[in-house]
Amino acid sequence: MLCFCSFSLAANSWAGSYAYITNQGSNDVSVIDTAAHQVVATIEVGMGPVGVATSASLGQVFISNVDSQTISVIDTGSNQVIHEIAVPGSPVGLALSPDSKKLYVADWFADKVLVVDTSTLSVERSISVGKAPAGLIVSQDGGSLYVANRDSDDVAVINTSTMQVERRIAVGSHPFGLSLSRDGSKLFAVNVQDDSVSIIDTRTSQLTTIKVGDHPYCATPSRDGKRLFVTNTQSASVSVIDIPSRKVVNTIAVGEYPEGINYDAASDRIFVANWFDDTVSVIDASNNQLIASVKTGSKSRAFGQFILETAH
Amino acid sequence: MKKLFALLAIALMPLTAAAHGPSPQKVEKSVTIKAEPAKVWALVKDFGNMQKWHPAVANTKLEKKGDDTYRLLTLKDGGTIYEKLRSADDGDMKLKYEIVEGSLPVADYNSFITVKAGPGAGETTVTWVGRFYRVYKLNPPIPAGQDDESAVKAVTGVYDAGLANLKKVAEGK
Repeated sequence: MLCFCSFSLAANSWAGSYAYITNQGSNDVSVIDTAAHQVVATIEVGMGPVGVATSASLGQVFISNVDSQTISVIDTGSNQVIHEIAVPGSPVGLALSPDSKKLYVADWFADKVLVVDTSTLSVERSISVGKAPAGLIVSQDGGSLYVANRDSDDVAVINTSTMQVERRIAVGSHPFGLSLSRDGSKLFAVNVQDDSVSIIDTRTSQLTTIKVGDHPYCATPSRDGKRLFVTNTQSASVSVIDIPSRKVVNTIAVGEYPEGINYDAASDRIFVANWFDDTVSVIDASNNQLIASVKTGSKSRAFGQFILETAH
Repeated sequence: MKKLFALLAIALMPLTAAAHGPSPQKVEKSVTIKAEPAKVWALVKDFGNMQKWHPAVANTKLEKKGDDTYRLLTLKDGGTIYEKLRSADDGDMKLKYEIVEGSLPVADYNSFITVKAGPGAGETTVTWVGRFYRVYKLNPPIPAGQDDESAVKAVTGVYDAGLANLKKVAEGK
């Protein structure tokens, strides 16, 4: 274990990471160097980009453009769009399988999850889920795909070998963002309309619900799995939950209407996209201090796993 | 034509009260008023008397439901808007409210108004911010009058007219 830890520390000192921030209003993606807190590239994509999924192994980032009904595929070497996939619905949430072979796409209005083969870039099937599927996340072993059904107030669990919905877990009102602990034992569903987060035991489906700020959207756990950071869109803040005690221990003021949030392991920092302010707030995860604000494009959303870790 | 769209929007709302549109829209408008902030804030925070400063509002009916406060705005064009007060913070001079239902072609609308001293001495800056979605809640094609542009245009009209008249009223002109 010690050996493993020192290995990952060494790897981190070599690795760089980048945040791919979707800007709904300017129809582009701001690429932020997470160490320098600077935008290093701005990439034009489709209309109304919202969802993001990054793949270090493919060297690609997938962006859902809900208003042009397309997925943009960005090559991370050149930071240019190399493909545009037309999808038959309104793509919002995105998630990749751990081997990056499948891209899952939530179709907001058709109540479906589309499965895209990332080698052929074709939609190979669709799975009916609950109403208004939003956030998606795949378990670390790739076996389960979790879908937040915003208007059914539940999370669907899809078995990815059969592509069938295996169970549905009732959560709070209008779940939007989903996140998983690194060990996969806990699933976090952010319930927009009742200002709460559900912490779900992925083995037993038992859950506890914790009140946070006003109209929360998304969540991300710290590397050690002890804290959960939650964006509160209508209170312009991030709630910090102590996961073992299930209590909010801190509230950090960020920009107006924060949406997407990710933990960056390489820098031990939290990146928050502020939709209203066109900025990304950077929080030092070690002390919960806001340390930087990075100007992005218009109406930044960054919905999904938007940090790309690259090892050199 | 405009009225027809507004009526259409009301007729459709109960049917489509579920998923909102995929892309939120925003409007932010500001005005500088030559009056003390306290005077301006008194007008803004008076949730049951919007007709005192908004020229499109004919009358305002305040309603209490338990701890919650609502208002029914009757507009001069005959439309109505039913709104819920979220908070009125005297310290920050910030009013937060949302639309429950009404004749504006928007969905999931929430808003705040802030009142701040400045930029000059004896001046006040009022900022009105809204976040909302279009009315149409299905995959394209999007019918005319229910798209993002119609929603933004309607809210922009409400804010521009309201802030201009708030300035007039507060400055006593």
